[in-house]
Amino acid sequence: MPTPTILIVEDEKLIRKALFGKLTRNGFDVTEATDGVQAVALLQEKRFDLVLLDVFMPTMDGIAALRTLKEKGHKGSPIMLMTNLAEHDPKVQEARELGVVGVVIKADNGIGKLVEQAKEALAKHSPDAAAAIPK
Amino acid sequence: MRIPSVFTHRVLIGIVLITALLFGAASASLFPFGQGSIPAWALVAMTMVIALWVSRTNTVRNLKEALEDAGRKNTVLSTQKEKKSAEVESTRTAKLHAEDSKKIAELEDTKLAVLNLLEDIDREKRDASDARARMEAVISSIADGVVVVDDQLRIVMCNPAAEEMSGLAGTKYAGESWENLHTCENLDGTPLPTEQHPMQLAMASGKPVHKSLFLTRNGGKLPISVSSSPVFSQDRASGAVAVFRDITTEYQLDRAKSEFVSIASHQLRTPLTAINWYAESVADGDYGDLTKDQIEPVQAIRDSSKRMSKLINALLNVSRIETGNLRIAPVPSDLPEIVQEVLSETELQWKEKKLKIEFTPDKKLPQITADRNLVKIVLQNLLTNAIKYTPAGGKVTIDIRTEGKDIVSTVTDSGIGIPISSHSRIFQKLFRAENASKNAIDGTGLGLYVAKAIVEQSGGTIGFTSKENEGTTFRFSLPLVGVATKEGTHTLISDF
Repeated sequence: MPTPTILIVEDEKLIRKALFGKLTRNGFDVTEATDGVQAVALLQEKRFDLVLLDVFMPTMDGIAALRTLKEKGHKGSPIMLMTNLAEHDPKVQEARELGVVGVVIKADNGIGKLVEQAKEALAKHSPDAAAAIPK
Repeated sequence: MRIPSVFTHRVLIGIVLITALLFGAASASLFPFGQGSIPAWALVAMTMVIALWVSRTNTVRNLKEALEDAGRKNTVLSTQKEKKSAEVESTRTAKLHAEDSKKIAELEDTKLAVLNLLEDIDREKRDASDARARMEAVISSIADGVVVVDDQLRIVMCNPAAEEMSGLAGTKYAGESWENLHTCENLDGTPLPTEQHPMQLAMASGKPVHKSLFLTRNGGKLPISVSSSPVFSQDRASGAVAVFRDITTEYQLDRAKSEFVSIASHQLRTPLTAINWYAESVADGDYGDLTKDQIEPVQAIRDSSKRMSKLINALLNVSRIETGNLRIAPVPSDLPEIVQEVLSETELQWKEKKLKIEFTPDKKLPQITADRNLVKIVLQNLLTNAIKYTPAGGKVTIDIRTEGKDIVSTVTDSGIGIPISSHSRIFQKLFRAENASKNAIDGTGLGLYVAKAIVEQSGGTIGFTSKENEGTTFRFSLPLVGVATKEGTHTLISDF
């Protein structure tokens, strides 16, 4: 059974590394990107079982990346927004309109809770891959 | 010398009679009767006849004289009468003249008095005009706007600064209603109803009202600080005077401060997230099992970073309220359901303190259209305060019911209470009651400030009653008709 693939798009190195470690330990095959440009390139190249996309990033932010992906198309990766913005923030609303499958709040939830939310999204949008996650 | 005619007549007769007697006597001695001479008696008779004739002649003359005399007397009398009449007439004329003179004098006096009065009035008028001109000059020179309105909010007076600030310069506004010329907004961007306008409030309450708001003008918004007082006439507020000041600079500074807090908070959240996550990962043993000595310090890092996260969230909420970017998105909301959610989220805390929680929701309570996220923040603040400030074993009671046009929620605790000296400041930003700090109870002093802002921006009211060492009851109402939608870029962070 293939290991579920996950793409973390986050410019903050400490956050990215913490997530990388936690997700790897939870059975994910983790790929890292540091901005929207890298993310778009990767997502147009292959499908990930789940994507965790930050909003505020240099070069191309998360919302611009979503717009580009919607415009140019991608391989159908389910994308979750990962932000400190509030649920009703206009950027979050726009991300929903651009097709994100969920929103996780970084600061308000612990890293363990974030991983749990990622697993739930995986089960919903990539059930085959989710089956490979050790219980 | 004039001898009276009657007297002359009688004297003449007397003289004749005496003469006749004397003549008779003499004749008798001279001419005795027997000797052929004129007898004496004849002489006497003759004398008497003569006397009588004389007498008669005298009588006629006397009569004539008398008549003449009477005529003269009559003339005299007539003259006297005429004279008398003339005198009477003269006296009357004199009297009338005197009265006329008196009246003329009085009229003169009256005229003088009237002239003096007119002069006084004229002087008073000049003085009043001068005073008015001075007052107008003073009011016109005031850099703050001054507007006087009548009880229908119609403009009675408006100084140049007010004209400039309100965009009325060069327009005909006298007698126009202030509310027809302007709409006002609260500084948070919500519309300010006419009845909430400081001038209207001052007239309604009879007391001065101070408020900061936006004045709309030519499509733009000017932040102003208004002080309005009622103008009384015959014990009735017949209008109001408002003095307002352009607070653009203060508003921009405050906004810049809030934006700084917002940006700083966002920037702080990222490293804080990293601290939280690593501390959690370490505690979870992701980097190897912890020794007994390591567990406590790692937990301390996690607790402190959580505390800082809450503080930053609260500061962000405050900055969002103050910059007026708070968005209110009402949806049908079930208040008892929200209370249950909060009780569930705080279960660890109240169970740890063995608090008795009483909440029996009325099943007939209607849903209310309100911003669910914001109402939850209010209930979170009130309930966590009740839990925090109530000693172990105490009681917290929640009640929700309809009252008139409102749905009213109360949270009552048997906690440490709020000292009277702190009552007036309890909703102030960053204020904490002395007994809260003394008891080393964790808090930011921002929760009640945020709760008040949410409730008031939702069209409700919030208040409390409290007695130190006995407990506190917080009560807030929301309109049953529902909360109005407010456009904005931010909602608040619910973080418990």
